[in-house]
Amino acid sequence: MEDEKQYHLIDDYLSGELQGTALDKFKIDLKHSDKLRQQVDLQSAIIKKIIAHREAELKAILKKEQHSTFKAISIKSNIRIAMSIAASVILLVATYFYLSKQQPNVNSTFVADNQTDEVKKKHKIKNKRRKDTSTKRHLATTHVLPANEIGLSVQDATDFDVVEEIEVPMTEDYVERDISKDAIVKSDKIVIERDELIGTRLFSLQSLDYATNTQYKNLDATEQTVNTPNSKVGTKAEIKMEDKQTASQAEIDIPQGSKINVEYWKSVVNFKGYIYDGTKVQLYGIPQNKVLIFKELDNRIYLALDNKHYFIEKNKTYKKFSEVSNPTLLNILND
Amino acid sequence: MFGIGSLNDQAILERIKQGDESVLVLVYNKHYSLVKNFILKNSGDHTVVDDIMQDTIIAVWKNANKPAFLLQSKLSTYILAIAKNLWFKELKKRSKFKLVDETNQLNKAIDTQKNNLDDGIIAEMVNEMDETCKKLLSYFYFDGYSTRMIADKLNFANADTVKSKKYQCFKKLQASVLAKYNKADLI
Repeated sequence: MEDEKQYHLIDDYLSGELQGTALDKFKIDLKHSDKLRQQVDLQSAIIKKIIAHREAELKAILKKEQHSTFKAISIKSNIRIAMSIAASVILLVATYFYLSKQQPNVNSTFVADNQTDEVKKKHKIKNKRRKDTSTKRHLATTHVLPANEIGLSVQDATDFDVVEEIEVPMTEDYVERDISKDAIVKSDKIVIERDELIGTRLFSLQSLDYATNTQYKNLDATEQTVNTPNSKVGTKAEIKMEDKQTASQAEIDIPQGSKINVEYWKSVVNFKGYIYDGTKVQLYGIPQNKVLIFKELDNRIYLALDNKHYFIEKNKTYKKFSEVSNPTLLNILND
Repeated sequence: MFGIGSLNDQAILERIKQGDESVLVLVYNKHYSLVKNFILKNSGDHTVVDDIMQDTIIAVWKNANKPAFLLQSKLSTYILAIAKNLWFKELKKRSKFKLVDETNQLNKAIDTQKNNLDDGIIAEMVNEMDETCKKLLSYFYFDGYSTRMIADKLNFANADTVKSKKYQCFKKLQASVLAKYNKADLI
């Protein structure tokens, strides 16, 4: 009983609840009693340990919860990453299947947005041609369409970047031309055709200068006097000047020899005309069996064909035949 | 289980007074960033944040259970104030520690070793106590619960019974500590 009383007294002293005379009395006792001092020290140490134990217990709870929280956060973040990866994979697979279904069909008129520019261009040309030649569709399936039949002008037809890309089915005729390497096969589906060289011939050049020179020699003296602004009577020299004005101003170099090299070409778009680079004449749309006569007059070349005369002017690109209309010049040429 | 977001400061304090340990975790998690930012901005690092935070929450727990405790500000402000005091105390301790010469440090280490031995014996005995005694003494000395509250919590008849039981538990612990201490001293 005495011990219990002392225990509670020490307890009150250590907790600060002991006050007044009771505290003073206890302090005097504490000063004079070693046993009491030891008891206070021991009780204080035990109380501290009890407090420390409880504190450690609570900290353990906090630590435990803290770890489980971090673990939960970690698991949550891992799940998020896994979900993101899974979603990406599903998206990729879905995109793959969608695109594989939307693969361009060559025979189909449908052009998907994601098709290549090459395919789009091809479809564009095909659709354009389909509109223009709806009534002559059967011709396009057998061979190259003539430019005049598909409603293209010669100028349009010369735009080879657009028109030369023509799809030709594998007919027997096509195979032959493929072997002759006239047709360049870029891939299994796209065929690009070029102009076709049919043959080459050497023509003699009929020079009319000698005949005219002899005729005009005597006129040279009178030319200056006769060729007045008011003169209504034209001389042959005046006629020549007139023709020169209507013709191209480009300088023309006629081959010195009396022969001229002529190549017969078949145009992909059935273009009818010529190219004359100064050394040879490339004729388009002129059959080889036609009778051609090349004439030279005053350093210029003329082509006689089917009782008509055409100018052959030096040029670097395709040029249509231009018929001679001047009657005086025609008379000279016909002579 | 309630989230702390749904509890106001008074409700949290009430739950602390009721001895609800789960609310400590909620308070800890909610104010962790606040305390961490303060420590990191004031010469601290991540290794001390947890310790300071735990000590802060323990202090809140102990203070909230005192009968005279009255929260006069927001709980977050109060928690940050405790954390600041603890951290500045720790910084002061560290700066003082640097001034101690090697001799003193050696003597202190020897004393600490002796004290740790004694403390270790006592701590071991506390752990070996039966659960009721352990709880009773913890509630009284650490949590500061009144004998009446302890009677309610541990299903004792009344406050006098708690007082009597407390003495018995303490004497039992003291006897075991003394027995162990003498034995260790003899060795």
